[in-house]
Parts: sequence; C-alpha cells; structure tokens
Amino acid sequence: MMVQMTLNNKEIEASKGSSILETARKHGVDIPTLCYHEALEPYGVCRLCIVEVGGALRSGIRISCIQNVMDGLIVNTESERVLRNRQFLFELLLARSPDSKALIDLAAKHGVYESRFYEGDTDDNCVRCGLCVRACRDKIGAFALCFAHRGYDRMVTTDFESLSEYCIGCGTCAQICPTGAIRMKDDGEERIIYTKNGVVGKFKLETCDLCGIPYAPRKYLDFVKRNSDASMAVSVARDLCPTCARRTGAINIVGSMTM
Amino acid sequence: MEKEKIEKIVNKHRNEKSAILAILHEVQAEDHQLNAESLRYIALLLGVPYANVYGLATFYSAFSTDKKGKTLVRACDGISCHINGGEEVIEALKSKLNIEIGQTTWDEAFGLEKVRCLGLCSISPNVSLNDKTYSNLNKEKILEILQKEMGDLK
Repeated sequence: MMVQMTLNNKEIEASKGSSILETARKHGVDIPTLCYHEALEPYGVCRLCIVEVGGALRSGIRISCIQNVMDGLIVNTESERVLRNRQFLFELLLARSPDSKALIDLAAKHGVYESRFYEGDTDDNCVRCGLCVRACRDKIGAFALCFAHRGYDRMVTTDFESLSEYCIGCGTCAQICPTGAIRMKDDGEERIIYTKNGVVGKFKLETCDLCGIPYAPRKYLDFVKRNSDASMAVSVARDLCPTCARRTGAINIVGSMTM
Repeated sequence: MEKEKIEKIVNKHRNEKSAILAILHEVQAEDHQLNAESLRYIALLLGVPYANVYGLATFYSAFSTDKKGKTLVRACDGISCHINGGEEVIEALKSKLNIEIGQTTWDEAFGLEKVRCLGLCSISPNVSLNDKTYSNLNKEKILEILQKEMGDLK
C-alpha cells in the first residue's frame, strides 16, 4: 500500500510501513546515519538521521530511521533547523571519536571539520551506536557483547569486561563498527578481537585442510556447522579457507580444472 | 552466594526470565553484592546470556557488583536535602565511618553512598540505612542513629 507525502518540497509516493529514512534514500535523498544498518532493526540512537516534519505529524524534529511514513506527511531533510542540529551532533560525536576516519569523512561531507567539544584525548573512539551489540545479539546470536553502566559511563563490553565465553570469533562486530572502536586482528595463528577497554575474544586459528593457512577459529566453524542445514553439509564437512572453498566449489561446478 | 541459595531464590520465582530484577534484588539483599559467580549462575539457571545479566546489573545504581556493607547508608544529596543541611549530615557520616563516598568500612559492616533522591523532600535531610529511612536529620541526630545501629550490630 502506498501513501502520498512531500519530501523536500517534492510530492512522492512511499510504501506504507517504510521509514522516512528508507523512503528518502530510495528517492535519492541522502540522510547521514551512524547507527543504522539495513541488516538490523533501527535503533535511533545516533540521531544523525533527524529530519524536520510537518503536515500529518505535529511539526518538529523526528528521527527518520524509526519514524514511519504516512499520508500527508511533509518532510524536510535540509532545513535550517536540521542542518544546525546535525552540525552539533557531528561535533559531539567527533569529541568522543576523534580518530575515526569514517566519522571524520562523514562529518566533512556535511561541512563539519572540527569539534568545539574535543578535550584532547581519544577516549575509546566508541560512539555507542550499538551496531556491534545488535549484530552479535540479534543477527549472529552469540550474545557476547552488551552495554554496561549508564550515562557517560555507558560502554560496550563483555560480561564482567573479561574474555567472553560466548564470542565465536566471527569479527562481525569489528566489521560493522563505524569508528574502529572494536577491532579484529589476525596474527599468524591467533585471532584477537578487542576494544580499548579490553579483549573480547582470543582464538587459535584452525588451518585449511587443503592449503594449510590459518583462517578461522574452531568455535566459529562449529557455530556455522550448528546453524547450517542439510544443503550446507558438503561445505562444512571439511575445514576449507574461503579461497579453497571457492576453488573446490568452482571445480564441482565446472568439472575438471587445473589447480 | 552459594549455589543452593541462588537456586532457592530462582526457584521461588519459578525460573521465569521476567523475574530477573526481583531475583537480583533478593540476591543482593542477602549477599550485599552481585558478584560475577552469582550473576553467571543466575544467568545459567534462567537460560539468559551472561552479557545480558551483566548489562542489567550494571545499569541500575541499586545493584552493586562489588561488596557493599551489611548496612548500606544512603545519604540523600537531592536539592531539598542539600539545601536543608544535607552536606553536614554527609560529612558527619564520612568522618564517623571513616570512609569516603562509595567505600565500605574495613569490617564490611557499613557502606556509604550519596543518592538522589529519596523522595521525602519536605522532611529533609534524609538518610536511609538499608530499608529504613530517617528524616529531619542534622549532624547530632544522624550520629545518634549510626551509634545505635553500630550498637545493635554488636
């Protein structure tokens, strides 16, 4: 079902049930985000996606990733009020994550190059967007990460800020982190996932059955096996690194091929 | 806290995940802390990830992951208490117990915290000792109450 609304003075049709953010992006209007990810439920905490609304909704600022569209909605993504608020938000975020290239680039794209709130230290570079926690909890289902404490002390950590028994070493958290606050490092036969506050997981990397390079932790491989169905049986039967897995798969498809 | 005691509390709440806050309150009340072992065992019994329980326990200031005193002295530092002489009451507590805010006495008998607010603003200053609250306090009155509490413990 479609709704009629106005986006930046243009009348458009939007799908009922979609958010203002999704709708805007679909129509080529970019709104900056930090805590938004297509694979996860919107969280609405970074506030970068704020827009100004009117019409069907009482006029004011709304968080576009968690606000659904409706008939008669008027949305402005670049009003003076939005731009002013966005600038302020970027400055606050940069104060906490001054080293994050992704954040620096995004801020620069929106005309913010420095933060009046920056106090000189790099803190932990974490903007508390929750992407790592949400990915680990809702998509991977490992439940290794959580938010602890409150207010300024709120931080991303494992239970008791110690090495997590739950972490499977997949590195999704490190990959999804927009500021590099949580990182993964593969060093020879060891993988370590860590933040400035401590180590999340430490693993020995298993070696590929074919080429012998260390590539994934046993816990991760077991996790994949546990969560795969019969169609994956052949793939999980052996420990193959991504390259060898691809080659083997290709051989199976094409027939014979020189390795 | 001993596993049997934790099991008893969790069973009392029929092992329901939704009762977690009540369970944490009860364990904390008896053990004066929610340490790693207790939290992990509670998580295990309820079938909840350790990280979730840790996040819950650290979020609320009513919960403590390190040992608090048998008697938790909470001195209100809200606006009304503060204006009505709350600071004097807090200083008296600090010097009598010989600890700073957030610390526990060497014998683990008393812990001292500043809180906001106990919700008894019209009869401030207020201090609570575990579940009991004392109001209309001043330096002399709080020292008297503390003395009695110390005497009762002997």
